[in-house]
Amino acid sequence: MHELSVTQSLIDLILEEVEQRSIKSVKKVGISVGVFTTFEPYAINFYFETLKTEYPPLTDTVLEIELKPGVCRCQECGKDFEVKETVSNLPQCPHCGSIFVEIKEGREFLINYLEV
Amino acid sequence: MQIKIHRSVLEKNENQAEINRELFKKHRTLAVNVMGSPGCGKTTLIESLIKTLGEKYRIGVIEGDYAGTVDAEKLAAYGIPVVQLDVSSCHLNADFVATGLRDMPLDRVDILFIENVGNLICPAEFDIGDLLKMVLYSVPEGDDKPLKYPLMFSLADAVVVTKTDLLPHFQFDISKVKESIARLNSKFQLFKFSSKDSESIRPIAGFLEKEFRRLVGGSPEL
Ligand SMILES: Nc1nc2c(ncn2[C@@H]2O[C@H](COP(=O)(O)OP(=O)(O)O)[C@@H](O)[C@H]2O)c(=O)[nH]1
Ligand SMILES: [Mg+2]
Ligand SMILES: [Zn+2]
Repeated sequence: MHELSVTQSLIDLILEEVEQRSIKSVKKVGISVGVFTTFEPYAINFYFETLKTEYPPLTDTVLEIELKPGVCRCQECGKDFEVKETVSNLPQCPHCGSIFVEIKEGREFLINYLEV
Repeated sequence: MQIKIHRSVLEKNENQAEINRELFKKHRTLAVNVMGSPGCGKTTLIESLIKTLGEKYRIGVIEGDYAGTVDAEKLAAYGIPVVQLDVSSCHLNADFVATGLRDMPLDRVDILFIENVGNLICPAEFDIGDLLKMVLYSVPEGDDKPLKYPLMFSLADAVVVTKTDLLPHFQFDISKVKESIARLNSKFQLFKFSSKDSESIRPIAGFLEKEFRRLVGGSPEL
C-alpha cells in the first residue's frame, strides 16, 4: 500500500550516495526488509522498476531484496529465537511452546550496498 | 565494485519523529496518536475525551484523517485549537505532523490528539513522534483483527474496543481479542467504549491522566 512512498525514499537515498561518491551508474542495489514490516518486496520491486527510468544513474539498476529474519523474545521463558516467515504467521517460542512473544528485530528497511 | 552502506530507508522520517517528540516533551504536551480503520470511531472518542478532560486539561487536535473539514469543524466547535492536515497518503508521517505543529500553540496544549489516517496497516510503520499510541477497533470489524494486523496491535499502549453497544448483534469475544493482542504486546491496556454509555469514557480518561503524569510530569498548568 505504502510501498510507493518508501520506494521513492529509497531512490532519494541512493541518489544521495551516488552524488556524494560521483558514481555514474549503479549496477545493483542490495536492500533488506525485515519480516515484521508490512512492506511487500514484490511491490517495492514493481515501483522501483517504474520509477528508476526517470533517473539516468539508475536506468540499468537491479534491485536485490533480502528478506531479513526477525528476532522475538519469549514473554514466558525469556529466550530469543529467530523468525523467518512473514508476519502473517504469528510466531511461537520453539523453546517452551509459548505463543506470547515480543518483537525485538525485524522491523528494519535498510540499504546495504551499491554495486557500481 | 561493491560499496557497503548501512542506512535506514526510513531515516528521514525517524529523524523528524525524534524532533517532534523532543518538541512535545519540551512543551510538556502529551501527544496521542489515535489509529484505527475508517469509521471505527476515532473522532467520536476524541470528542468524548474533550468533554471529559476539557475542564482540567487544555486539549488540541491535529486531524489527519480524510474527512474534508467535517471532523475538524465539529471539534473546533469546542473552542480548542484544531489543525486539519491535507494528507494525500495512506498514513501520517513525521513531516506532515511537523507541518501541522506550526499552527498548534503547543505551550497552551496539555493533551494533543493526532487522528491518523483510517488504516490498520500503514500508520504502524511511520513514527510521528507521539508519546502514546492508541489503537481503536470497533465491534463490527470482528474479533480476529489483532491476528490480521499484528504490527499495529504490537505497538499499542492502549487498545480501545469501540461500539460495544453493538455486541449483542455480533459474534465478538473480547477475551479472545485480549489474548490475541497479548501474544505480541506485553504492555497494552484494553478498554471498552460505547458512545451510548457516558460512563465508558471514564477509565480511558483516567488512563490518559495517569500517562500525562508519567510521561510529561506534574499537573496541567491551568
Ligand atoms: N453504535 C455506535 N456507533 C458509533 C460509536 N462510535 C462511533 N459511532 C458511529 O460510527 C460512525 C463513524 O464514527 P467516527 O467517529 O466518525 O469514525 P472515524 O472515521 O474513526 O473518525 C459514526 O456514524 C458514529 O456515529 C459507538 O460507540 N456506537
Ligand atoms: Mg474521523
Ligand atoms: Zn519460551
